[in-house]
Amino acid sequence: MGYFVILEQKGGVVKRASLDVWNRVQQFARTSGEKSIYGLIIGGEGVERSVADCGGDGCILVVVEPELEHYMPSAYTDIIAGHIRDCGSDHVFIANTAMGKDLAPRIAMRLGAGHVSDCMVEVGKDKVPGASTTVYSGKVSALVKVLTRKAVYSLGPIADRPSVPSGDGVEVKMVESKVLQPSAWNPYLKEIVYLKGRKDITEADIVVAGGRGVGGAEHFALLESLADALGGTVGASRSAVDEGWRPHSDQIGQTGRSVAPKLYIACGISGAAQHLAGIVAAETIVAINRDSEAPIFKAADYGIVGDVQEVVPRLEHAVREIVRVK
Amino acid sequence: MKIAVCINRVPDTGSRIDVRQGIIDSSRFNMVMNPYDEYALEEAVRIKEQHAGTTVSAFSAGGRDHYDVLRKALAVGADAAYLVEGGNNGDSYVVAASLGKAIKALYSGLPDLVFCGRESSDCNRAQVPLMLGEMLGIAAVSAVTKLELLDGELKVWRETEGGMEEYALRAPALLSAEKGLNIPRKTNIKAVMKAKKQPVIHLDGSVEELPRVRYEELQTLTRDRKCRFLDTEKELVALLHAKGGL
Repeated sequence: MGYFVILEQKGGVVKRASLDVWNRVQQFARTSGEKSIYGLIIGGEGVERSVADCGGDGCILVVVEPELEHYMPSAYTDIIAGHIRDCGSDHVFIANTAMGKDLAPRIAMRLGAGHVSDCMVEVGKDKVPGASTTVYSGKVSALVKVLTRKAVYSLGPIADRPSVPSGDGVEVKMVESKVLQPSAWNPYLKEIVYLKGRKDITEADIVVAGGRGVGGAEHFALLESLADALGGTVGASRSAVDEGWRPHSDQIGQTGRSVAPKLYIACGISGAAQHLAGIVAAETIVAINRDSEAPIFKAADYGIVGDVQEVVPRLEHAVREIVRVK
Repeated sequence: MKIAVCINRVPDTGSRIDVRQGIIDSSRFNMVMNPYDEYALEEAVRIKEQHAGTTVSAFSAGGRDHYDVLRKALAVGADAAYLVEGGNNGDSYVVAASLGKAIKALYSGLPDLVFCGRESSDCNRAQVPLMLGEMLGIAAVSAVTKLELLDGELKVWRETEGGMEEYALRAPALLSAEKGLNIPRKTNIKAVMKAKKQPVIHLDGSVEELPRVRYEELQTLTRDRKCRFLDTEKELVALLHAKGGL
């Protein structure tokens, strides 16, 4: 048996999505009585301090290696698969981030494990995780039965974010990276360029997203302004990206990225199944659309029927008044 | 240069998805080439057009009904089309093993590049490309949005949360294509007619590998919440504020 969590850091800080996975696995262990819980994080100098945020029980292995501060696919695969084998863990969990999506199938292959991508997991008394996922662009749900002893699960965001578990405390253990031959790393990550400005859509607490109903690239300025007032970030539907109004990295939905904000404001988005699949984990959904019959309203908590170009500025005004009072 | 492109056949994204007794009703599906595989194929054909002596071979794992997507690959510009039989039972691992067997059998050694789509638009697993890369024992980068090939040096870019990663890569290598990599061309009638006359070659893709996961209890999913309609933005902000959402 045994649970193993692959943690991801950015700039020496454990990613929120990874912390969620760690906390969920702690809850699984509470339910099932599983005692063997390992985590592993790879990063540059000082990364060992970042795991202080991980509560609960178990042991987190830390690989400190300046060359591996950023994701290096072949080296990460070698190191992580090696430690999972050493720990004897059967159930491996990773957040379904850009790195997680790339790494999980590689790890599964090395371990001879079944792989369940972009899933949710629940654990009963028998310690074996039960996974579910969606297929056909979020239109169909399915339970996934793993037929091998070992399994790698990449977990998507969920609305009900797990709380920080209390426990006996996590042991932090520095380990050797073992294999280090940078010249043999292929592919080799040469550079990461982070876009300046706002928080990434997957990490923001408030996301203001626009679709075709926004009416043009220039009108996204209204959404930017609202996002500024809220301290949020701006995303887009597939239509808005296909129109060339926003970059692909802003795309929310099954073909883009899944988001899990506290507040999601859909502006001029009709609400295709593919889009709704990317916002299931949002806590509160607000829809603004000219068409009162748009499917987005069925998936929303609050709705305003009206034109984006009129409603959004009024909404911003109302937000700024509240913020001023605060 | 030798390039292999893996192509899947999926229901078009507008198809109505009905589930009957836990099974997808595919009787009214309109089947097309997986959209992500179109980006993969387009990129391979563009490389061929820029580098003399390059051949592009399309592979699809499945039955004879996959002839249509293989013929489309020929019309887009692939030089040869291979139907990989005996291994497509819907499990990513088995499909990857089957494609791997066919690719290894066809090339003496390995192709220089293998292109796949990031994922298939039906099951959305995004597993086959990276599994195939591991099986072939070659370098792989998934969800590539930009590629440069200069003097045999390969540079690729992929999106990460809030930024872009740039990788240097040595061939042989596998790349999975993300939307944004290119805009696939439209096929013209002449190319489609010519492709109809070209052969589709059958390859043995039967493998001993067994499925590693099984999908059960399929159900149509609704994401309904109870929507409260509001007349003014002020009301909305007051409600969100009271809820602690601002």
